Amino acid sequence: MHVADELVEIGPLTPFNYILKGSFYLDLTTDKGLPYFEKAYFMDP
Amino acid sequence: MLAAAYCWTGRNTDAFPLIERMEEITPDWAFTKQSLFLKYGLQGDKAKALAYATDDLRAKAKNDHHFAFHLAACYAVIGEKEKALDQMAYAMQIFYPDVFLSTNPLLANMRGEDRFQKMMDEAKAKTAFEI
Repeated sequence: MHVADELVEIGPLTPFNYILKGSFYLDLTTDKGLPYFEKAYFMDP
Repeated sequence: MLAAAYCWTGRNTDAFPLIERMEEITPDWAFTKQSLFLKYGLQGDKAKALAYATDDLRAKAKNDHHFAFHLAACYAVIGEKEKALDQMAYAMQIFYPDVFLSTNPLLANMRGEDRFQKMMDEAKAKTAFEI
């Protein structure tokens, strides 16, 4: 399990954890990270 | 972050309202000014974009390699390639996600530049070594 997945599992209500998870995809496929950035934003606009 | 991610995936029109909201909430934040620079650049309004290319933003980039990457993207969008490459070279002293940089639509103007290609080659080498 990637550390970003672990963070989301430990802190599912922490927006920053979703930003970290979205950031994991930046050097792979940015499109795949976008839903996690959206989730973080809508948790705390 | 979401505004930047929208721009990195070509969804500029989704990013613009978020950038305008940033302007309302935190008008003096460096990332707000950088985002407005980017927004006007993407809208093709180079004069308005350059109004945000202040000494303050360049000073911030000198103290923050990550911010220099964002500023590089702004300059790239308005076709100021040398300034974009200078900022990118500084950012890539410590930050070199080569796949992200090679596919980022904001950097499309820089892809044909020899300096950019050299940076990508160096980034690939560094990434391969460090993994």
